[in-house]
Amino acid sequence: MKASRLLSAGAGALLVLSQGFFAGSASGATESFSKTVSCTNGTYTNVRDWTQVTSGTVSVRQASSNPQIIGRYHLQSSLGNNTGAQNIGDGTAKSFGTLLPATYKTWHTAASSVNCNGSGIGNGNSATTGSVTHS
Amino acid sequence: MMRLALIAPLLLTLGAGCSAANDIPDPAADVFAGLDPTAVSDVLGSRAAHDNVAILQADDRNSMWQGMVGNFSLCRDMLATYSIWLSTGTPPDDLPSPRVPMRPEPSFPDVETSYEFYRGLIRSGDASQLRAALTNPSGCGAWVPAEPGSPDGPTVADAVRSAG
Repeated sequence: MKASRLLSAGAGALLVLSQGFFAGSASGATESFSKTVSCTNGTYTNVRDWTQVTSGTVSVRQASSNPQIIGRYHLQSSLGNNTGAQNIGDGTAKSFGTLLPATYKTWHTAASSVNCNGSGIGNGNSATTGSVTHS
Repeated sequence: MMRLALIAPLLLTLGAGCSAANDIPDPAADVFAGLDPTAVSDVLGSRAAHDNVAILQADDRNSMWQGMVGNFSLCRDMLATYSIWLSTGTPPDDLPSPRVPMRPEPSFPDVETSYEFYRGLIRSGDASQLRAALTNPSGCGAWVPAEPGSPDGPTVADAVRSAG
């Protein structure tokens, strides 16, 4: 019983770590994301949580999206501070300047609404991958 | 008919517990207990604060509301410190510390971390470091109004730039 509880707790901890939630991000660290995001402009998805442990610059890279869309990203701290929003296409990265220590969310919305859904209802979703890099 | 009678109270209960996207907490809500009432009022009256909350999941909203109140206090505390530093030539001996909420949300450790970060800048003895943080375009100074009760007035960053 005890062993199974320990295993369960350990698995939970590994899951949290693998998703990067609230893991401290030191200079040079890169954290990846893989999320299903909306193809409708104005619908926001948090693609990655992370913690900035010291003041430093942060960049976001969109590696791929399927169907292909241009993402509009901004970073929001747990205290309500925000970076400006920037459009990022597949295979490109943008710097968001120097961020102060806090926990952040990486918000994605489609730069403009795109039909990712063919003849289906609504614009549908896109499978998007990328990373957040601290330097 | 019987099924409807069973489901109706359930739906009413669910509806009462749901948080609408524009749900605004009461200034006297538990989430604000222990915090500066002026900062609470200013955050609740801030359009930017509402925008911050609007994109969050319901479970994350209270943490953001409380974090923003702590952030407003932090930013104004640091502006006051910067002003004293400029006028006297030395930083004050008493460094600001956060007001502790009665029921800390997950954002509160970030409030504490931020205070410690700013206190480190003050201890450095280099006022330009505090100035840079308060005028950082992604920091609190970019959007927190310098004067309590003046939501459309100059921001903390504006006030720092004006002070020199």
